[in-house]
Amino acid sequence: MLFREVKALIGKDIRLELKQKYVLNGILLYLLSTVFVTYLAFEEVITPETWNSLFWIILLFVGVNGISKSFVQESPARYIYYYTIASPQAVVLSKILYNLLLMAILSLLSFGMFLLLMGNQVVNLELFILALFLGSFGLSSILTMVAAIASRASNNFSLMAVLSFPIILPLLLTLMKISRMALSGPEWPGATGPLVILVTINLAVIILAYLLFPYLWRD
Amino acid sequence: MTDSSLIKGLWWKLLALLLLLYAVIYGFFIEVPYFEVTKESIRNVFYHVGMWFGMSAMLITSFIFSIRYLRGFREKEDIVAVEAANVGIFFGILGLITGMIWAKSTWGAFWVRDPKLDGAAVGMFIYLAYMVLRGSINDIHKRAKVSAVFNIFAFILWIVFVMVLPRLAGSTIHPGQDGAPVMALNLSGSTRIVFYPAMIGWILLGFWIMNLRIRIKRLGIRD
Amino acid sequence: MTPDSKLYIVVAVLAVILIGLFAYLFVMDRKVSRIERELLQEKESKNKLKQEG
Repeated sequence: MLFREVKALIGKDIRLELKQKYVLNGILLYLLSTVFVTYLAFEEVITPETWNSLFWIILLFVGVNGISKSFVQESPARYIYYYTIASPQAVVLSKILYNLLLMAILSLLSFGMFLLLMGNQVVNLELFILALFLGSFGLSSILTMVAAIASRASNNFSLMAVLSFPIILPLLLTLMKISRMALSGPEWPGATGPLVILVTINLAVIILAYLLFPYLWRD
Repeated sequence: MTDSSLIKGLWWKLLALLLLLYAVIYGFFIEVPYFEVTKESIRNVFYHVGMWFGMSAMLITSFIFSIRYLRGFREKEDIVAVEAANVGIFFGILGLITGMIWAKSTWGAFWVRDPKLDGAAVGMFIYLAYMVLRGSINDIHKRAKVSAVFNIFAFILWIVFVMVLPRLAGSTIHPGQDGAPVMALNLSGSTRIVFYPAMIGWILLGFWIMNLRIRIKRLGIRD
Repeated sequence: MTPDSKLYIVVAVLAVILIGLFAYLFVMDRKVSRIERELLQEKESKNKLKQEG
């Protein structure tokens, strides 16, 4: 039942996104121009350390930008309609999965841009891709929850940044640690600890979202 | 009025005073372990660390009352949650300032990359954001509900952050860790008899201030 | 610690500050208690008036 609702809601989100292409285009352009600006600003002095930090910080900003609209995109009346036909858990899970898709695409695109403009710094590609996927998942779940919280207040956008930056730090630092390993050498063993932490954070956030979102959904 | 005493809960408020007086007086005379980097300033553990104990106690209280609010939607509990967070921020800022003074003399800089420092700073950012969030919602029920959700969500992620950070730090972040016995302080028996009473004293002081703030706020709500 | 290091002066100062702060809190607590009591009495007398009227 939950599964079917989630599937239908994700389908709805994808169709909506394809219909209003300008939103998606806006995010894509934001990503491209941010990467380009940093490329120009940093010229050629890209060490693996700065490459790594820049990559994740840009991804964070892109994520905040892309996900902040999650709960304010449609008219309030439409949300009341969803409220009557779907369970809140289905709504939040569908949003998280949909945003995961969005973040995965954006992070791969961002990676591609980095390769193109700043050269390849990644040694252990499998580990880096794994970090990208788990990172997209974590970013999408935390930012979806924060977007839901911020959507209930006025002054939505700056609130989104203020609320999300401090609580996203455990995720972001763990991600940076893993991808620093992927940049510095081909070995895996050192990465298991941070990977376990990453999976734990993701699980905790999903459980919290599942439990807490109903309170945000109904008035 | 059957209650003849002027102040409710007088005993634990007096206890807070006695414990802190004891800590301030005896904390200066007790023999403390000697470290080259800290010298006598090691006595700061009785006072500066007390700020973190006070802050933690307040933030945990805030977290618990946010959960309780979501279970029954009683306004009373929302007031406790927000006032506890307020006092927690107060202690946290004092802790940051006192820590910076101490860090300057111990490590040579006001701010160093240290998991404890970063954890405390992030905690402050979270609760200041909590206050901003509350400020931007006008409807009181909505404000209470939304901020309780944020409080629970953020507190758990903050705990994760505080636990995860030292593990991530490893060799890369803080070079001075070995020269900092303060953080890994192995409290000797004689120091402990000041340390624990002092911490209880600071926590009780926090609860007292919180208690006053809650009561003043309730006076403002006439029904 | 040697007795002539005059550290006890600092301790005395800190103790006075601490006692002062707590005295301030006590006074505030008493004031709040008094206002609480007054409000309660006000409410009770109002209720009585309502019942009589």
